[in-house]
Amino acid sequence: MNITFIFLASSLLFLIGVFGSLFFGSVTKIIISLQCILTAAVINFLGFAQILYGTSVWAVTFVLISVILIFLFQFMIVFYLNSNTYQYQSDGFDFSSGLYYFGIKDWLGE
Amino acid sequence: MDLIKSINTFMNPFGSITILLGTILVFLFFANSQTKRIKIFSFIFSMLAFVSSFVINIIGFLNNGVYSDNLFTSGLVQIIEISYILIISIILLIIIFVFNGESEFYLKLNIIFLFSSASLIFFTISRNFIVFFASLVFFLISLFALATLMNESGLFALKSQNDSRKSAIANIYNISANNIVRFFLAVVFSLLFIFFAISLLYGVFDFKNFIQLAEGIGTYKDNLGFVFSILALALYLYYGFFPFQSPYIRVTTGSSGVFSYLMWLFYFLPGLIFTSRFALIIYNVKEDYKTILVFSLALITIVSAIGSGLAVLKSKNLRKILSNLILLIFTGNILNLLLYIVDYVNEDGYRMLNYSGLSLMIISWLPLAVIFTLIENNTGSNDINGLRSILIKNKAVSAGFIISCISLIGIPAFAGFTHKNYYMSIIPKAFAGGLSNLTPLLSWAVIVSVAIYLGFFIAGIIRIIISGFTGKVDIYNDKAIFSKPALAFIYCFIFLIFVFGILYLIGLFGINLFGLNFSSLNLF
Amino acid sequence: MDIGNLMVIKNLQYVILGAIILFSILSLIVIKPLKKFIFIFLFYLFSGFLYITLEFMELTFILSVPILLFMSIFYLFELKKDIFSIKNISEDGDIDYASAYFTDKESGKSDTKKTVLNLVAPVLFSALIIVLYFIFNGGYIKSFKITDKITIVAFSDIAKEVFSNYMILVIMLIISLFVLVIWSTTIINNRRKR
Repeated sequence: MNITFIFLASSLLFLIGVFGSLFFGSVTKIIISLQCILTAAVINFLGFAQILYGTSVWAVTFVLISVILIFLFQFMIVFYLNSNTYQYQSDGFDFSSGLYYFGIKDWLGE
Repeated sequence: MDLIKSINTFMNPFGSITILLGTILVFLFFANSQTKRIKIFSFIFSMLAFVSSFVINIIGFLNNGVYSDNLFTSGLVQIIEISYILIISIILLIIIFVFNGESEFYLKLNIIFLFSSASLIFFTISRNFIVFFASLVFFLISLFALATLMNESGLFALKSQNDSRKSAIANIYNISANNIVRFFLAVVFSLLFIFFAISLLYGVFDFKNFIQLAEGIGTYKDNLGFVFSILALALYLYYGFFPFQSPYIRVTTGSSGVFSYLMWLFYFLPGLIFTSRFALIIYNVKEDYKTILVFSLALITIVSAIGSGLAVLKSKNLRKILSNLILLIFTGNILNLLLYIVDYVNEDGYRMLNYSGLSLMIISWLPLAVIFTLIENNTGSNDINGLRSILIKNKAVSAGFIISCISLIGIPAFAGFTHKNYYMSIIPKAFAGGLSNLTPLLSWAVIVSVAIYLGFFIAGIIRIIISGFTGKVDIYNDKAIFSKPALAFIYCFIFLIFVFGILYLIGLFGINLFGLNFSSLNLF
Repeated sequence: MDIGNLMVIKNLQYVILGAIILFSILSLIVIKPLKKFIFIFLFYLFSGFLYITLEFMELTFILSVPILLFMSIFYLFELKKDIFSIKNISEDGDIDYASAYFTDKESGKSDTKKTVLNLVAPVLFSALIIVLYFIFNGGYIKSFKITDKITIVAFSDIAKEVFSNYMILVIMLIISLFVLVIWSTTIINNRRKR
């Protein structure tokens, strides 16, 4: 029962993340949505590791290494964004649509 | 003696990586240097590193044979893939040096590029999911660093300009930085999909590596469907096929020219390797899920081929055309997977089809891209209508243009024929009852997807040829300059197109030349 | 550890999971940066609590280091974005960057079409995932086999695993940190030159 609830909650968190990163135009909100997906995956991993397998060191190592690396990647992206934010290009990092832009201009060309 | 033995056993999986990482360590000491001599020295040194790691990769395999432990596996497949990666790296190194050799941070670019190649080789030989995922992230991190550093040169225009001009240039810089950030956020999105899928996989069974997964898939197949669909979505997002292509198209059209080469030649390789791993695993359950597998793969192929093909047919932007052609070439991988699932080709044939797609990209597509870049540098615009006015100026360039286009179409005696031959032969074979192990509906799905893929590919190339000869001629454009290295580069690839095309034909007809039997080359 | 001792923790997990989802939604909806970041912090805090209730105390503390580093730079970025917001600059009067920015935006011809597509596409994609789940995985939850015994992973176990099997990844991580240093110093130097 408990692991079912954890799994369902993490799936809901995953769906929130997917919807948010496709829907919101603001780069901040996209990054927050990505955190939701990441946390959902980590909750799954740790929940399964503890409740199904009685803790496997392999899963913990996976979580440790991959979370550190993903945060490194995100850190670099946000660092770049931060370094590019100066007076006359603020708000330039808010996309007009979500992460993917479903427009005919990008697809076929003008 | 023991030392030599231990070096020898070390050489097979790790020799090439060690050389690349060692080169990085050497370069770290003068990463900030601006001297021209050191730049040239570093170019030659890293070139030597790539060549020697290529040699060691092959020698190590010949000496040691197959290597396998709980983290890495290295057999003939991995050796071929690493060879492709190293060849592409050498080409990219030359391109980076030609375009960014004068740049202030060429040495840094060199270091990061070496790191990205090394992590891609890691990715190729990885077997455990931890190493697999971590090396993928390392590769993408280094790609991000390369993208941003190449974009930095746009910043220096900001010094000593008046304010209105400053704001205009800042806007251009801003747009390209924006594109890069959006693209890499999309990449993180697909990466997190993979991460989530592996976590779901872990809920089914204690799978730790690909071998366990391939063995266990028969037992746990009822619970693995969702996991594999999430993995497939992740791959789809990673490739950026039709509805999700906009970040990729924007980053290749709206950032520096060199980075778009990196995107075209380098970014998709992990996707290809991942797909082939994935293929071998789902092949074990193909009998149980044949209908759904065939239909979904055919649907992906058709949607992606139509999407990218229409873009090649309609777009006027040269870089957009090149990007969509690459997407079409990599759509071929999904088609190969489909042919593998329906048993039209065996495992070796499937791999060879994938490699022939890569060869098509390197040998036939690359000269076209180089010609387009030269045109872009000469005219300063990306418009396909300016193609003719440049082609008229130089006969060598126009000959290269026609030959690479013909090779992409796949006419016999050109290198691209190897890629098309397999797909072409499926249609008569299907009517002759070659796909008899399928229901009629499924075999029609396969035939339709092959036909649509080939149709859009060939139509796109024909469109490029036609617009190369019907565009308007700009009389003011007399200053078209083609540097000698660039021309040599194009000549070299034209030569390769002929050599590989003729070798393939000799193999196909089973002719013996000088006592050599070329029919073993048949599949390449 | 006996699983019977964990009854309190089990009930606690429901509350914590609810809080995680609530804070994730709140941090996406709220507009003001400070409040937003309070909610993100709470989101991470509660996910940390969840890991602790799953007996991963030491892992939680290790993971909090990259999370805090990332959060600090993220907060700095958000603050900077707020300070240099286009609304504040346009009042300067000296140079009208704001209009220059807005004219370069894509023309708003197909705005309604775009917003509809923008809403429909994520909904469709999320629906696709849910549909895939129901088509393929009726038995996913039922297949969970819960174990009786729970052990606690100490930091020494993780360190042993990493340094005995994944040493090569640690080397790669160190080199990538070198790369990160080279990259970030270049970016900062370029900004300073300008």
